[in-house]
Amino acid sequence: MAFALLALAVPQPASAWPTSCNAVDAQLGSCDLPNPPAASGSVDDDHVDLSAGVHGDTGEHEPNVGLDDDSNGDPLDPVQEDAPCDPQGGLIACRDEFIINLAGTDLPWQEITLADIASFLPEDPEQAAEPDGWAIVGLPANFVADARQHVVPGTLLGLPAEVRFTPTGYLWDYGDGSSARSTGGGSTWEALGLDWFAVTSTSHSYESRGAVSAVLTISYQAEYRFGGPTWNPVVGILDVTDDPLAIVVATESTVLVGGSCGEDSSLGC
Amino acid sequence: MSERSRSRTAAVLIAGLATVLVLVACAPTAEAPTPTASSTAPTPFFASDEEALAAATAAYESYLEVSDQIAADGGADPTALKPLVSVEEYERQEQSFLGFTERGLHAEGSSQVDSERLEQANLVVGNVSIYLCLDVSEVRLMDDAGVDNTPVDRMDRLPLQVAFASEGESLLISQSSVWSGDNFC
Repeated sequence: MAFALLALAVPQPASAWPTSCNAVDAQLGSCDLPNPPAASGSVDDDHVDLSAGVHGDTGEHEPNVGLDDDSNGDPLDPVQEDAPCDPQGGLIACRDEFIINLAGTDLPWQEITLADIASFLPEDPEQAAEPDGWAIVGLPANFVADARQHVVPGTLLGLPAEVRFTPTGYLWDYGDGSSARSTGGGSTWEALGLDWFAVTSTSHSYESRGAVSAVLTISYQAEYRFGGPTWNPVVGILDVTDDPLAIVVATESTVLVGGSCGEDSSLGC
Repeated sequence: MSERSRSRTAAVLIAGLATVLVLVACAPTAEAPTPTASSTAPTPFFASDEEALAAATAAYESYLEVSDQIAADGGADPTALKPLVSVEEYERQEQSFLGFTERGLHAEGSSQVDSERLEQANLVVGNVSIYLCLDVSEVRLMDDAGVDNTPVDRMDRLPLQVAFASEGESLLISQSSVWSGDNFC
């Protein structure tokens, strides 16, 4: 049977950690937390992927490849006997030990990276419009996005990792064929101290009646941190789109005669 | 929020490889510490896990007090630690105190310990290991001129794993190391 085993032992992160740390070491500052493997972040569509890993050919242990009969003379170390997670001794990858045993057929030497990837999704943005669900032709409707800087926690190689999302731009598709960009998410008329139907930095006036779907896309800049306090930039921008917001655009007369106001003191009553 | 982050382990083959390889990720072994129950016997050293934890905690606090006193005196004479630590650990402590004596430093302030948790205990024999958080934030390293030499990048709180072995009626520290899993401090 041409059965080849490739065994790879990458030094554990623990090997870089101090084996001993007593109170005096701690006071002298010679006890450090383990240095996690270097991580990198990338934007993938609507989320950020953080990845970290250890290359197989960078450790103290040379990767060993050999056929089962060891006929090629290569050093043969098919199974890591000290691998604590080796239930069958077969196809196996142990994340925390960073040990891979791969079985295959006539495998050439391979450089192998055992990596961990974590995906981080930003919060869904939320948009609202004033008035809520309707607008009047020719009068500004005020659009407000609920998006803020936020941190999404996760783990990478068993260690804490975080991605921080910061909204940097807003693309407002008003659903009537027009759109606008803003750098801010806008504010309610009340928060701005304005009367209803006042023009704001994120308001839009529809020109004709009808039902429209307004769609907000928020651009996030992302940063990550892993094993330290420093935020590292992630190259690229994430564009996250909100669920469409249904708005009925009516004429002023329609709104004013459209229903009984009762005790409602909102516009038109 | 946390459910938004998905994590998966992947083994990635960098070089081109047509052969299909199956990789199975194993359960991590360096996860959060879990206390382990131990067996009982007619004349156990400890009556319970709780008693083992309490004894280990008390032993570590005694050690800290003595160690702090030695550090306050400049570390020249660590012999007072001998009744509190194993022979091997005493040698490591001696080495550590060279960090004081060789630089002419002494400590001001005291170390604190909190969040002690039992890792495992052999109630019969009296061997215990615990997790704890060592807090040295109040300890300053001063030189003879009164200048603060405390490293600016020092970790002030450390997750430690400390093992104790019984000797006679007492518990001696036999090992002390930084916990290699998630930082619980």
